[in-house]
Amino acid sequence: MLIDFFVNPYAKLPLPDPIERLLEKGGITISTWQDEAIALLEEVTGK
Amino acid sequence: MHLLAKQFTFYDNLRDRSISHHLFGHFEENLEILREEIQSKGIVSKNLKDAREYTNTIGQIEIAMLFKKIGFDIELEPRIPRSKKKSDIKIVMGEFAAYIEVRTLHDREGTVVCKTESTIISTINNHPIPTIKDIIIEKTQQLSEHHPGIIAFHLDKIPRTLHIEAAFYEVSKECPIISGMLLYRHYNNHE
Repeated sequence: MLIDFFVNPYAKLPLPDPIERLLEKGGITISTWQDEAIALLEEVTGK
Repeated sequence: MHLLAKQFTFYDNLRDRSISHHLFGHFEENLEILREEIQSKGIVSKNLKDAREYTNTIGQIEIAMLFKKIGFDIELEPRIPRSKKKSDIKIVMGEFAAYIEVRTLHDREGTVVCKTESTIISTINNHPIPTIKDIIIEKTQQLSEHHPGIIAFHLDKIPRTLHIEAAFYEVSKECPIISGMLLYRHYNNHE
């Protein structure tokens, strides 16, 4: 089972922290854009 | 397993059969746990009988199940307050409510580079990033302006997700209505 949740750092209405914690407790991996990830994506997408 | 479902496995080989059994069992479990939510919205049952809507409805049910198991109250095909929009799923926990739009993505056949009796090696043919971006942008049309919104991809045999993550990264700034993107893939017992 793969369950990944990618947070939108530009979201107008982000999920509240307790909800994010609940998702993690339910087995969902929460990811936020880290500098390294952005660098990797920019390398892949060429942007 | 339902006898009718069992008929679909008659022509499978031994390995296929165990996969089919698992998937039918998993689907039956989903239908049982979401019985009330599905029965209260006739459109979901109707979509399960429509070949064009079937796979996206399966995705909708999978994602709804995921949140129900975590403890959220679920509504399928909810109307968005103060608008004419209708979303795929509403999740509620106490004062918190969010809307989810679901899309099932199927794998795309790659080019076969080597084939023997027992092995086929082929290239991976990912969905183009602009296609994924278009899907995300289209799906945002059904999200609420006043509640957090989630775009969920139900992945059918798609092995890699970096291109989907890249597409989301590219649209994340222009789509602040999206709180986040969920990638979900269910494996059978043999994967």
